[in-house]
Amino acid sequence: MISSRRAGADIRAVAEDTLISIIDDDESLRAALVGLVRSLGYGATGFACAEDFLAAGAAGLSAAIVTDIQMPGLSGIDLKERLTADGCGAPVIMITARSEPGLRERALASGALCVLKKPFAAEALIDCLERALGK
Amino acid sequence: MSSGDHPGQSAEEALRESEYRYRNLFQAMAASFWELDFTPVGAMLRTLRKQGVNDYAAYFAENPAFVREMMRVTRVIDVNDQTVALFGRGDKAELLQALDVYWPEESNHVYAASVLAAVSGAPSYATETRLRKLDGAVFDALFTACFAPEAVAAGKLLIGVIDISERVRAQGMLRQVQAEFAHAARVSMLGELTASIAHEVNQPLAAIATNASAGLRWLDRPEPDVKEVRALTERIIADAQRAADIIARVRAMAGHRAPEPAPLAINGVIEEAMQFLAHEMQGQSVAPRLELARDLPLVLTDRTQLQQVVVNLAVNALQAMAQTPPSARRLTVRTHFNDGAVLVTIEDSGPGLDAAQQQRVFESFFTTKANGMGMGLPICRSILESYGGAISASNAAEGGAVFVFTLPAAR
Repeated sequence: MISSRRAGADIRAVAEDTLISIIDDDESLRAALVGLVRSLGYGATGFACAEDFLAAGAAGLSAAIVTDIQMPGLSGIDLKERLTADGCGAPVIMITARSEPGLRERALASGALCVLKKPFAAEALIDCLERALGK
Repeated sequence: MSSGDHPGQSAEEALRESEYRYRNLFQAMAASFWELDFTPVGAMLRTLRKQGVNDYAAYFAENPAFVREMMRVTRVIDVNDQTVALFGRGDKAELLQALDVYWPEESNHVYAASVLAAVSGAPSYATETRLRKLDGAVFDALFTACFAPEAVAAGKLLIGVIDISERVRAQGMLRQVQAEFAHAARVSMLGELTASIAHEVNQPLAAIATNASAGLRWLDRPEPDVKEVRALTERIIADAQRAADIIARVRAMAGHRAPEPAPLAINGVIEEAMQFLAHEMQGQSVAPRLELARDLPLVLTDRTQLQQVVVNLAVNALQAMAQTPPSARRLTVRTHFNDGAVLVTIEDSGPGLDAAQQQRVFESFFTTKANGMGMGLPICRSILESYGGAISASNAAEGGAVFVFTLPAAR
């Protein structure tokens, strides 16, 4: 049975669980997403920005990444481009509340597995996660 | 009496001529003129003094019946044609009665003030008030009283009345049109902010939907995890409140209420305006800097309209910086107090205003935006001016635009 442990200060301790990293500057949505992913039985850690995610060395440990696109500092698209450049192949699911023309195309072009518009049905995110985890 | 005008004229003739000129003036003037005999009022005031009353103003304020009695003992001795036309019903004699019938209760304080002016030795007294015609109609009037020393000593007063109903009505209509214009500008501004407002509301909605789905999954487990469900339910409540607050702010800004001026702390209104635009500014990589002076006096203004001015200036600043590289975008808002007024400065790091723009930026329909209507700044100016304030624009030393507006400190 997959245990759903809350991520602690040292995320390497949950490396044996399937870890999904959630990056969103909106604190309440981030908490909700971490809760949803844990309710599915996976491990989940939240980060307020891409910089925190990178600084924590979480890229190499994440089975999948769910990230907001529009954030102060590095955007979700910037992050995916950085990960690709660093040779990190973890699947990235992007979420956004913005509807600018061309944003979805740019996100997909950067290599996002899925792009979801907020507010999205949980099922849509779960579908993407299962695709990401090869299920 | 001078007999110098016509050498050889007797003093008697000069006096008659002077009287004749006065009578003509009195009769024919376009203003409504009255000659009053207020000798009995003098007697009433002497009685008061004997009773030890020294502060007439306070006594009048506390004894409205005394004020009405002063009016009743004041007699109208003479009126001109215009008075008959304005107040009367065609018969001059009907108007020559006690004064109280022409003074509605709501104007008692004005009559009292005119008596105070007379006994204090002032040469005249003038104010806007409401008076009553013989047919009972109450109207807005400019009331002037002339207290020539010799006349006052003889118990006589000269009064002039001008009907200002039309002017008052026009001012009322102008205020209403201005309020409607300001409302239209607010709604239009909200239209420009729709994308970021929608974004802001979608965040808590997405969180609520996500929490709720997770809740079902926790409950579907062989052992439902009640602790998790409780935690996420509390998050749902907080998120719903957040969405409701955003909607409330938008409704307040879009609302069409009559302006309600009240003493306000300007710093608080500025912080609210920045909060309102937080999402929009974040989306444009602008972190506003607030340098708000402490201990500013309150200003008398309508909260929504003041927010409108600040939001409008901030949105203009953001739009000005659209072509500036994100890392170079700066928006600074400062407040300070100077010389009886509170000053608010909004400075951006955009391209600034050229000489032509500086001249015209407050003109109606002047705009530098492709889809602009050019009404935001003129409306800001008329809002500020209606509260005794002003606004101006110039360039900062570093190149961006600086808008400064002032509002007088509330007394």
